[in-house]
Amino acid sequence: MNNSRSLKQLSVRATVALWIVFLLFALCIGSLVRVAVIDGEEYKLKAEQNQLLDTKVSAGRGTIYDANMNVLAKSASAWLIYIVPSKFENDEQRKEVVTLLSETLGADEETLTEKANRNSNYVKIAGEVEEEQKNKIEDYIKQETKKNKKSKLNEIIGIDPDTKRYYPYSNFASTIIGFVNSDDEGNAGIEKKYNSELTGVAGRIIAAKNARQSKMSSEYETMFAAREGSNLVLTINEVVQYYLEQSLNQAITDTGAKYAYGIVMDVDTGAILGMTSKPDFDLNSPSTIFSENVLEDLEKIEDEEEKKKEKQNALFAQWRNRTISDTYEPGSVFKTVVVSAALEEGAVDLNTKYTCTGSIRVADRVQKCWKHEGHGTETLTEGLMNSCNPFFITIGQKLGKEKFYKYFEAFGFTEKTNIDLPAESSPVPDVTYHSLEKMGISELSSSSFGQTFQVSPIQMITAVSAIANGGKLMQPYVVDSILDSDGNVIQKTEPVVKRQVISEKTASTVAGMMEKVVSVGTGKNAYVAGYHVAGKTGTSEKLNHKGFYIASFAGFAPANDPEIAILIAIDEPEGAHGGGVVAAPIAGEILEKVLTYLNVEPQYEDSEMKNISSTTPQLVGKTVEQAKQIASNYKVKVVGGGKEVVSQTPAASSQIRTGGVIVIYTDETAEKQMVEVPDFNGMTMSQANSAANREGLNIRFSGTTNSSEVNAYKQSVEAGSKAETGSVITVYFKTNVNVQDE
Amino acid sequence: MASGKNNKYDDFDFSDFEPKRTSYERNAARKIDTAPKRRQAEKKPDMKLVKRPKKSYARTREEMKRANLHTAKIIAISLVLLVMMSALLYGRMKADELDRQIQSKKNELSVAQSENVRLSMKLDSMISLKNVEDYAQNNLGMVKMESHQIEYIDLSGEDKAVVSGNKSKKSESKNKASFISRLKEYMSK
Repeated sequence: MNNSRSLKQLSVRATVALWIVFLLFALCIGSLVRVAVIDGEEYKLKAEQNQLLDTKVSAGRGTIYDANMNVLAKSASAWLIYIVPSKFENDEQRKEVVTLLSETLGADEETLTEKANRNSNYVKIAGEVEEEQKNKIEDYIKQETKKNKKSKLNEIIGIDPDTKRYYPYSNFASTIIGFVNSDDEGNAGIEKKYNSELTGVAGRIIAAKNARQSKMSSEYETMFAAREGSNLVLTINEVVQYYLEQSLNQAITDTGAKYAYGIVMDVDTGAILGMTSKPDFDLNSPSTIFSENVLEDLEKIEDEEEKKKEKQNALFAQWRNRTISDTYEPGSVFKTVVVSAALEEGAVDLNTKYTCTGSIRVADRVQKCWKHEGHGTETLTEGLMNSCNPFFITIGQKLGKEKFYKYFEAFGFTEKTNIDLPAESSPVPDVTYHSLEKMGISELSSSSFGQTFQVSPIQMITAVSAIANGGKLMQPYVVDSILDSDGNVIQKTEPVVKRQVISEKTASTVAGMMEKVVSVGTGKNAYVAGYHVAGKTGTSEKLNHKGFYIASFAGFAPANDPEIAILIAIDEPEGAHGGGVVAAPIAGEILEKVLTYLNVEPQYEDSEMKNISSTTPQLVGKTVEQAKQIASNYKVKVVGGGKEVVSQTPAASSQIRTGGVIVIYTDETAEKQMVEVPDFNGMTMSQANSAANREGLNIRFSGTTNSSEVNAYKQSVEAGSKAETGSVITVYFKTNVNVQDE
Repeated sequence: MASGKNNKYDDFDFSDFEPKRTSYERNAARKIDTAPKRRQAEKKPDMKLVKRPKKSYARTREEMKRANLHTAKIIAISLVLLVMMSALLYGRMKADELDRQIQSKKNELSVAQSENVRLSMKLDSMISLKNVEDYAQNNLGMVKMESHQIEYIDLSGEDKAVVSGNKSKKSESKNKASFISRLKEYMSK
């Protein structure tokens, strides 16, 4: 009886126990399902975070080179300094940190104090800090911690890795290259357009962590190497770009213009050799405004909000690449396009004549020629040389609006050029140009001489290049090739011919006419002896800014075998504002330097040879008598009491004009003879030559030397400075006669 | 013998020092004491006395030797294990140290590379075209080369070989002669 009772009791107990075990088991299984399946991903992530250390390895940003593989932009690792203001113990410590950072980083003390007073756990002080500065801060923290072990400086000042982009030539080609922001992303120019190629792909290091959450040895780590950013080789040539920038900087100083911009392009490929928009900015400090006028204007603004807004606008204006983002009225430069279209369509030929009376009636208005008394009867070439507006209105009307629009479109004025730079202006019908539908006789007439519509400088030079290269409209580009981090070419830009706009014959005819414009027409200030420069000047009044002008010149050289095209625009020059007076001499200077650099052989005409210097003979080692005999075509000046020539100025094989001065030294101890360089400004060629010879200096003529009505406007050595007797001074000449083209 | 040695304590009653049993312990003890007694009384197991064989001196020695050897083996294995463990720890320590060194060298390399870039850029900016031109003109008094100072050499034209001296005609006739004589030889074969 007792046994059966106890057995029953045992059975009940066992059943209860079994149920409890079962429930617990079920609970465990349920919990397991929740952890493994329902919230599996979350716990997996937590476990990974707990066990693994995932470190991002940033990829180095690619380097930008010019066409000669000179570095224009390169990145290197640097440091970022931040502070934790919430950890300051007292004001004394706050002041100490502000002083340290201000002295080491050169930061503004007031700004630093404001940052240090913030109630925050992270305030960035400076990025792109170099190793030397970082070491100074670290050393100071160590010293202070050593002196006072309770010092929490190492918790207050933090140092993180960062990268720094170096631009060695500061503002050189700044509007093309662009710059990067604090996140190392391109903000303008090439840096923006090719950001993805330059950035590369970040790598990762996944390492195991120990119980103390610190990294375990490298055997437990897996590394996914970063793919370095690609390198870019530009078509920009450092030397060409330098000549262009140098001349345009000078142009702004000389003319007081608001802006000056220019492009040099390879006519056969569309490759941009040089491109600039002045004034520009320092790439190493893009947020600093460099224009003094703008700074003055900003200082006058009292309202802080407005000042901030205006500063931002000024910065955008400073970063703007006006050669592609701005539009302007091309003025008479556009006549080259009209004459090309008219010749191609047979509307005119070289024998077409027109009599300019000084004005022409278009619909209900009278359009005046810039020469009010009229040009008289002129041929087509003369019409272009004289930049005669009534003649071109007549040509436009003969061509008709359909054909005019056909060539306007064909030369690429209704579309973007698609140059590989950001922020290219987009032509808008009936806003920037007249659409075919809304083009009346007035619009056609004014458009025929380049007024009442706007184009961008890059569109204009592309069209002029098409005339130069036999009628092919090229797509301009600035990146020649993309290289991987080992220097292998992974992409090469091939020139793109968009279309054949005009025939080779027409292009050649127009090129010949444009050469005449420079040799005897309004573009004679762009003349360069030995190089057959072809071009056209332009002057246009700003559409919405009456009384302000843009003087421009577009051309190419050598005219018989064109290699480069050039466009120069001077925006709002003070005083003289004609393209022939203001822009053409600058184009001439640049062309002379660039063509010499590119080893284009000059071919002198007989008339040019008289102004070309002769080669000085070798006189060292000869007796004074022999030297005088050898250099009988020159004025020989003897310095010293010796019998034999020990040195000479200019040196043998130097180029000076026949009849120039050679100084021979017969005594090694004789002091060099120095003279004051005269001011040649405004002198004619013969006056300048006499003035130079009087002082014992030699002169070399540059610029417009094929005209009798020329005056000196610039000299290679500053007036009033000292130069050695016999040295050569280059004097630049230009004319103000018959170069108007309004 | 033991009792003989401690007979001076025989007169003491040690039960007074034993812990006193509680009532249930006493009952349980009674139960335990009585039950086995009853079982023992019912069944007595057969006990046999097994005689232990007598060991010889040599065998005892042999056994002792074996035991010593065994101990030695254990000690040796322990030592080997200890050495291996130490080696492992040392290896790990060394690997960690090398790891740190690699990391440190990598950092040094990175810093040196950055410094190299910084200095190269500084150098590049110092020798920019503008600076070079300024220095050449203002400090060295140099003058830029002009286009007309360059002498261009025309290398265009067809490829041609020039034979030096007066040997050309002779060698040509010699070559012709040798060709004819070789032809004659070939024909005569």
